[in-house]
Amino acid sequence: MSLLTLVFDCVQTLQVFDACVKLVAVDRRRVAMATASRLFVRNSTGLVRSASAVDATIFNAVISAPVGSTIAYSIFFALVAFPGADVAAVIILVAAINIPVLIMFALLGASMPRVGGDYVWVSRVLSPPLALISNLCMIMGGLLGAAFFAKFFSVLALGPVLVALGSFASNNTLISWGTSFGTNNSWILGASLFMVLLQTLILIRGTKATFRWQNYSFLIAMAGTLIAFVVLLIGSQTDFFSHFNTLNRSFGGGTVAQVIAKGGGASAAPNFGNLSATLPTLFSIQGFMMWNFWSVYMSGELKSASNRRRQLSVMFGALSWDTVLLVIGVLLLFRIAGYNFVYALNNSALVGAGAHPVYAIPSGPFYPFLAALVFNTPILTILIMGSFLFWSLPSMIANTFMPIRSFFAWSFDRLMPESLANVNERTHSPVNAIIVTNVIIAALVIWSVYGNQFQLVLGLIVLAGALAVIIVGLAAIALPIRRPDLYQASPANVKFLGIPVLWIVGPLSIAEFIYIIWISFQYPALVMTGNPADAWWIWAWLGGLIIGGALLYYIPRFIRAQQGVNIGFVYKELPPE
Amino acid sequence: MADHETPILPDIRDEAKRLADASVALGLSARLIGGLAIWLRCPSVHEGPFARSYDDMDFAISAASANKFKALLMTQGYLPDQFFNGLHGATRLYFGEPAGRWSIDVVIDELVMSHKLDLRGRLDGPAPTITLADLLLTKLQVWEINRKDLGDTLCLIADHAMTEDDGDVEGISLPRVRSVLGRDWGFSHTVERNAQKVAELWSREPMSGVPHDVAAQITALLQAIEAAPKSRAWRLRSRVGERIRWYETPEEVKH
Repeated sequence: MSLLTLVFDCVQTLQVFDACVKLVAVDRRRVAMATASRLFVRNSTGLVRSASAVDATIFNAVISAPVGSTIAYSIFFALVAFPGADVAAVIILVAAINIPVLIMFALLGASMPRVGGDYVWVSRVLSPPLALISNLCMIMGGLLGAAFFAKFFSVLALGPVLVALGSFASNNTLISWGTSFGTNNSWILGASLFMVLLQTLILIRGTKATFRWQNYSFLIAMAGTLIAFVVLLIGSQTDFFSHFNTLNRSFGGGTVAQVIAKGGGASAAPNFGNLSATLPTLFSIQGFMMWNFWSVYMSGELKSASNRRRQLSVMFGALSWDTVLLVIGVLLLFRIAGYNFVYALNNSALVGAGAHPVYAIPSGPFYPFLAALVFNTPILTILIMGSFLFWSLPSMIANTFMPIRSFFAWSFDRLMPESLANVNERTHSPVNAIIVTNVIIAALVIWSVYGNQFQLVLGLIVLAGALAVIIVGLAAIALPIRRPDLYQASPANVKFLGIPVLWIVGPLSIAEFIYIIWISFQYPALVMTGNPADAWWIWAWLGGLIIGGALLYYIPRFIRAQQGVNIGFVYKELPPE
Repeated sequence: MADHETPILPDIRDEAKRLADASVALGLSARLIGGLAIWLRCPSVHEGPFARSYDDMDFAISAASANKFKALLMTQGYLPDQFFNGLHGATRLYFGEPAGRWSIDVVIDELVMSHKLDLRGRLDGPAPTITLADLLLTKLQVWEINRKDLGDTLCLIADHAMTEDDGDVEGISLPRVRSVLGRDWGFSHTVERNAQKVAELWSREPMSGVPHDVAAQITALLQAIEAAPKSRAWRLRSRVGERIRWYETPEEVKH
C-alpha cells in the first residue's frame, strides 16, 4: 500500500455522489472474495459492534461542522470581524489542511481501535503523562464544545427562531421570549441547562438510544437546512429584497440599499489573498471543522474499527459532507442576498444602532431567517426555522461522548476511582461517568453565560485541540521506532516512496497546528476578546492543560503507589477491546 | 488449582451441561447455544467425522435474567471481563474460566452475528439448549461458515426430524424457520446457501447409522423456506438481491 492508495481512498470518499455506486462495487468484490474462499477460520464467537459507519460519519459530521450551526455562526462572525474574508475559499482551504491530520488519526485509530483513542496511542507509544495531556486537551475540547452548543441552543437557535417567527407573525410575545432567550442570562442559562439535562438522560439510556437521538436530530436539522438551500437556489433576489424591505419597514427600518450603504457593504468584497482576513477566518472555521477524527473515540463500538478503509471513509465522508454543504450554503446565500448585503447586515454596530436603526427587525440576520425570507410563507418559515433547533443536541452528544469514554478508560487503568466506570445494570451505561461529565459541562455553561463568552470558548477549543494533535503527531512519528512490534502488523504500516506515511502526515499535522496556535497570537479577536494585552491567556491556557494533564497522571500514580499498585505496568500492553 | 476451589468440572462438555441444567433448575431464561448445545442434543457429533474439541461455550439469555445469570457464573468462579461487559453489556457478556481453559460468551435477547435472530420469549423451554429450530438457524446464519459449523449442522439435521409441530422438543420446527426467514431476505438467502453446503458435505461424507437422511431433510427445509409467506420487506429486499451486502461480518475480539 502506498500513500497514493491512501489518497485514492480519500478521493473516493470525497466523491459523494459516486459513493453509493462504489459501496455496491466494494460489496460485490467482498461477496466475490468471500464466496471464493470456501471455509473460514474463527477462533471465538464474533461480535457485531453496535455503531455503524453511518453512525460514526454522522457523529463526526455533527461535532466537526454541523452545517446549520457553522453557517449561522462562523460566516457572520468572520465577515464582520475580518472584513474581506472569502468564506467559501477558506472552507475549502480548511478541508485541505485537515487531510494529513485525518490520515494520521485514521491510521492510528485502525491500528489501535480502543475506547480511549489518543490516550491509548500516546501512552503506549510515548509516555503516560503525555497521553494524559493530549487526552485532557481533547476532553476540554469536548466539554467546552458541549457547553458551547448548549448555549448556542438558547442564544443562536431558540432565541432567534422565536424572534423571527414573532417578526413574521407580528407576535410580540414570541419576540419578547426570543429576545430573552438571546440576551437575558437567566433565560439563557435555563435553556442551556435544559439541554444539558436532556442529553444526560439520553446518554444514560445507553449507546443505542444515544445514536438514535443523534441520528434523528441530525436528520431533522439537515432536512431543514436542505430546504433552506433549495429555497435559496430557486428563489429570486428581487422577491427576497422586496420581502426584506416590507418586513424591515414594518419595524421602522430601511431598504436593502440603505442597509448596504450604512453598513459599509458597498465596497465589501471577498479577497482570498487578503491574509489578515483569510488567516483568522481559517482559525475560526477550523474551530468547527478540525474534529472529523472524533470517531476514534467510539472505536470500541464501531464496526470494523480496525479496518483502515473504514476509518478513512468515516472521517473523509464527514469532512466532504461538511465541506460540500458549507460551500454550497455560503454560495447560495450570497447568490440571493449578495456579499455586500450580508456583510452590511451583520455589521450590527452600524446598521442596528441608534434611535432609528436602518436594520430594525428584532431578529438577528441569521441564515435560516434570511432563507425563510425568500418566499416568506408560514410553512417554509416553520420548516426551516423549526428544524434549526435540532442542530445543538447531536453536536452536544458527540462532544460529550468522548470525555465519558475517556473517563471510562482512565478508570480501567486505575487513574480514576473504579466507580467511575460502573455500568448501570438496567441501561448498561456508565452512569457515574455520564453524570460527572455533565456536571462539568453545566459548570462551563454557567461560566460561559455569565462570563458572556462565545468566541473565546471557540478559541480555547481550537487551542486545546491543536496541542492534542501536536502530541498525537509526535506519537505517530514515534510509533514505527518505539513500538515496531505494534507498527509492523498494523494497518498504519504503509509507505510512500519507502517512507512510512506516519512520518509524512505526523510532521505535517504538527506544523499545521503550530501555525494555528501562531495565528491565535496574531489576531486578538480570536482568543483574547480583542485585547492584545491578553496574549498571556493563550500561554496560561496551554500551560494549564500541560500541568493539568501531568497532574492527572502523577497524582493517581502516587496514590496507587501508596496502595501498593504500580499503574505503570498497565501501559506495557494495549487495553482490551 | 481452580478445580479444587470451584465447582467447575474439568471437561468443558460436562461443565456446559452442568451450567445449562442449573439455569433450567433456577428458572432462568438462559439456554445453551453453539457447538456445545449441538453436542448436548446430537449424539452423532460425539464421535465420527464431525466430532471435535470445544474451546468456549455460548449461552443465550433474556435481558431480565441477565443479573441472575451473571451471579450464577460468578458464584461458580467464572471471571467477568469488566471492560468488555461494561462496553457491550447491553447485548453481550464475556466470562473467563479461572484457570483460563475456556471462556463463556453470552448473547442477550438476540444473536447478532451475520444475521439477527430474535430469541426473546424462546428461552424458557424444557431443554437446556435453545430449541432445535433456533439452533439450526444460529448455525446456518453464519456467512463465513466453516467446517465445524457445517459438521454441527449436518449432525443436527441427521439426528432430528423436521416437524410442523412447534411444541415438539425433539423436532426441528419448520413453522419457526418459516416465521424467521419469511421476514428477512438476507437471512433466508444465507441459510439457503449454507444448507446447500451442508448437502454437499453430506454427499461427500455421508454418515452411517444416523436416524435421518440429511439430503431429504435439507430438501424439506428448502421447500419450507420457499413456501414461507414473505413480508413486504422481504420482497422489496429480494429485488435488490446481492447487489448490496446482506450480511454482517462479526469481528473477533481480543479479551
